[in-house]
Amino acid sequence: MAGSSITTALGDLGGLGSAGLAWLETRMVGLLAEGSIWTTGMPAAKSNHAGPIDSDYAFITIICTIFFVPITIALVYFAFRYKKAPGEKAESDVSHNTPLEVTWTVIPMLIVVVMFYIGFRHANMMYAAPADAYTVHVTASQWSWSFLHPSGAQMGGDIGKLSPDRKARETTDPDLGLHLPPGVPIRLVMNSTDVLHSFYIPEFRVKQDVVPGKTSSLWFTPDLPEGDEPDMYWLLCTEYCGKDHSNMLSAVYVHPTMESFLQWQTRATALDPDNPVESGAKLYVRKGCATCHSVAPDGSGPNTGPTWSGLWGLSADEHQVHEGSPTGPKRGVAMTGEAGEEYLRESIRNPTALWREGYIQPMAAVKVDDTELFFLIEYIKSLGKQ
Amino acid sequence: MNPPETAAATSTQVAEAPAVPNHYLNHSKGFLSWALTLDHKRIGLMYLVGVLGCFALGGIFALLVRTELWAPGDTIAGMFASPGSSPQEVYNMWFTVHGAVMVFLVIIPGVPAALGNFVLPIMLGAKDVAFPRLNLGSFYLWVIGALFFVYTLFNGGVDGGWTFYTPYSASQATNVIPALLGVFILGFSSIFTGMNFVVTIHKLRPPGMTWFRMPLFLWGSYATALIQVLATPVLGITLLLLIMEKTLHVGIFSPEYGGDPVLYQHFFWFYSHPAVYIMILPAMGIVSELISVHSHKRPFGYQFIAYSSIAIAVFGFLVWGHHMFTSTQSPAMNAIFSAITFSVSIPSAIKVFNWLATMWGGSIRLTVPMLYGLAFIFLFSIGGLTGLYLGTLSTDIHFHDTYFVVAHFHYVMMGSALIGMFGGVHHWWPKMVGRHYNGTLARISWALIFVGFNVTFFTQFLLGSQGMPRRYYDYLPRYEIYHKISTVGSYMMAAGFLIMAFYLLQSIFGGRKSPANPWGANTLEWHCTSPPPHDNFATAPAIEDCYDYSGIDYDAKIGGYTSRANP
Ligand code: HEC
Ligand SMILES: [Cu+2]
Ligand SMILES: [Cu+2]
Repeated sequence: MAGSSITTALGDLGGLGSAGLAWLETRMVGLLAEGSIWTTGMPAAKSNHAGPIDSDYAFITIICTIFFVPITIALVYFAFRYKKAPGEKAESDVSHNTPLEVTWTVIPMLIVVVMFYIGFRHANMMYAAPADAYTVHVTASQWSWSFLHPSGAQMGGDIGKLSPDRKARETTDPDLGLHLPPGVPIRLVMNSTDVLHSFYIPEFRVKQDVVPGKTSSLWFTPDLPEGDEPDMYWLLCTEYCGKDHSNMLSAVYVHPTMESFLQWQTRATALDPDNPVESGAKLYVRKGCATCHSVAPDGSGPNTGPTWSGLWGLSADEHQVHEGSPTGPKRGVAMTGEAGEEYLRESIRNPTALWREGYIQPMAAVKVDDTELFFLIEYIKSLGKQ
Repeated sequence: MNPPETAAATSTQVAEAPAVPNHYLNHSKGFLSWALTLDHKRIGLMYLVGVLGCFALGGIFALLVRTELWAPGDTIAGMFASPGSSPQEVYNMWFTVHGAVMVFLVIIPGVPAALGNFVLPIMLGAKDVAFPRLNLGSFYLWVIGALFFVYTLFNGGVDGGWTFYTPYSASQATNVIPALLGVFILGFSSIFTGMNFVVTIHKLRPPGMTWFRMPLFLWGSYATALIQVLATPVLGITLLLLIMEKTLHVGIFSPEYGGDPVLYQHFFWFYSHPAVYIMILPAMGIVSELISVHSHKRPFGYQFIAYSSIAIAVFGFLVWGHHMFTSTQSPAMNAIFSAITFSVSIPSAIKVFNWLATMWGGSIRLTVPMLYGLAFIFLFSIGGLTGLYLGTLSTDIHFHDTYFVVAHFHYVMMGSALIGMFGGVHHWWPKMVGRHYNGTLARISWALIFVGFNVTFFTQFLLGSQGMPRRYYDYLPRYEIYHKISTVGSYMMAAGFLIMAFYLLQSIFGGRKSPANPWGANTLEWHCTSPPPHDNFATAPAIEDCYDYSGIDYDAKIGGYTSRANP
């Protein structure tokens, strides 16, 4: 592909430059090191990408300072030094000075070449994940994240909530969110079910848009937690996606040990066949249904989708459902029959086939197997018409 | 009325001033004499009033946004939410309206259409622009575009951010279509102005006004006009495609119908990145004038500055992909766009050095316009240098779509483009209305705006590096302190602008009369009376070196300057 040959060509060119850069980096190692004053302003550095990005940040900050301080001093100094009474003539009538002008064109040019190159080199390290990476499938939909692990464990995001004193954002359930094993590269393969979103964890310095109709990915190796508890970070959505864009967060946990991660995995996959309602309630949270559907008897809570409270057994009149979906072809045929077993199966398995009046967007399809579907429906039944 | 011809006369005299000076403001009276005027000065003034009005509107929304962000959770948006809507929807509408109004109704038409219209023909030595009717047409298109925006405001508002990214913008029920039609119409207004300026500069230069005798503001305006003519049609096409998709469900940008959302971003930034230069180039032109005139010294490196305007305009077309480094654009494209982006930074840097060198050895008066010029250089340096973090591929991954970007483009679009425009307003105000504003109030207002601006937006660099995403109604409490400081800064700016509104209005009624040349400039508009006569020049003016200040002397009796060669 033309693109990749350009990248290689640039890479070769870079080979020449990298010797010079290596020299520069050894010179500046103290200045560019993590935690130096030149990285002030950046959040804690907690992944393998943070070091390179922060050293580029420090490099640019040093260059900016070298330019900005003299510019400002000259600006203020000239303004007072050459302040004159009205009508006094200027001390100089110089109109140009070609050597000077060439100098201040060429020096910045050389500097930006270096800047481009370091940014290019470090960004290239972020594209392709190592082959042994642990892969998680991430699904973004308005306005929640959902994570599917190789073990089959699936977990919804945890948007947390503002503490009553408004001083902290608290997580709601430590099993929700993106859980990561320690010490291995993590690769995220991401899809969106509706509009653009963007996956961002400031401490890891990773960001990638999640685009409907495409698959995007990113990778990183998180730092090992220092204590025995998992490290917690916030994942933020950074592409405007509508009403609850600013609530499209999720807690992210990096486990300190493999055991701790596997314990979570067991909790995340465990379902009790003898207790279908309770298992359904777990799935309601894990599968992310909780971000859109309320289960409170008064219908309070999330209301992107219809409340499940009292849903079971609604009559056809109470429950206005049409074939099709609000944005797809509208056939507008009103369904007859009540909200029973078949209807629930169909609306979970094939959400765009049926559409409930009053909801402007169809529900995103969520992968559920037969057992899970059974548990979910048992749970909805248990919340049924009182 | 015919397009003005440039008489080939050689007289150097400006028309004798009659007893009651006849100027463009009192030349004819009545509503229609304004509404149907073909005089570029009246059209410019009407634009200025409209643009400043929209600036106030956009500013109110900015204050609402900043107030909401005072603390995490709901602050004030809840009070504005109607039963069917939630506070976050109200907030989302606020920032969308703020962005769209400021970009499309204020900054893009601000310098070219308002100040450019007033100043460009006189500076050039022409009686008017090449196509006066087209000029009036452009103004009315602007008015119609603005009305579309007002309509959406009173009809539930509009959501999606000023970028209107698909598929979100295509998927929701708010007034996206009227808003886009408004932008579409404003695009034509912008194209008309641009075409007019290109033709005027090519065809209406009087004898003696060679390309390299043109004042630098004209070079800036010329470069801008080229971008307006070449880039704006792409915006029009994009919006039509979006409207087609939304109404006819043709798959272009929405995956639902088989389209590609990233394609929309390419289209959008193919216009909107050059549009950044539509905003900044004319302001740079103004600053080149301000620094030279108020330092009473010719611009250092005139040719470099002139060429760098054109270089910026050309390179500006090739860098749009730097808005899309995290959009799934390929690594090779990222590398190419990053490299070209760095090349645009060079001409901008050259300009800053040239302005400083112009001040060196000058005879500087710290007038109000000069203060704006100095503020511009300071703020533009910060805006430009912080662009380096965003053009660098690795660091942009962290900063993209955070408050770092918000801070960066406010430094460039408000701190530079708008501060440049206000510098121009203060510079040409005595020429436009024939009266001086109150200097003390103007300095207080300048200081409040300058300090307030930095308090508001420098803080946002810190917010952004800490990872605060943009367009957030609610945020993690760890960002609270920065938001509080930023909000306080925005109130300082608001106070500054209120004072400005007061002294500008007051000057019209009670201001000291301005002499023809209050600043000691030598470009042609200062050789006309203040305000200028209806047709600018009775006879074609003699074109001399407009940056030669040696023959301009101060006359304390009139509180202004007179020209030995051209009294
Ligand atoms: C992104 C938000 C969202 C998520 C997540 C979500 N739903 Fe929905 N759901 C909706 C919306 C919106 C509707 C109504 C529109 C429609 O009928 O297509 C709906 C409708 C339904 C209905 C039909 C309800 C009725 O009253 O007709 C059922 C049952 C349902 N969802 C189950 C689930 C289950 C089970 C999950 C988790 C696996 C889930 N939903 C996850 C948004 C969501
Ligand atoms: Cu979002
Ligand atoms: Cu750009």
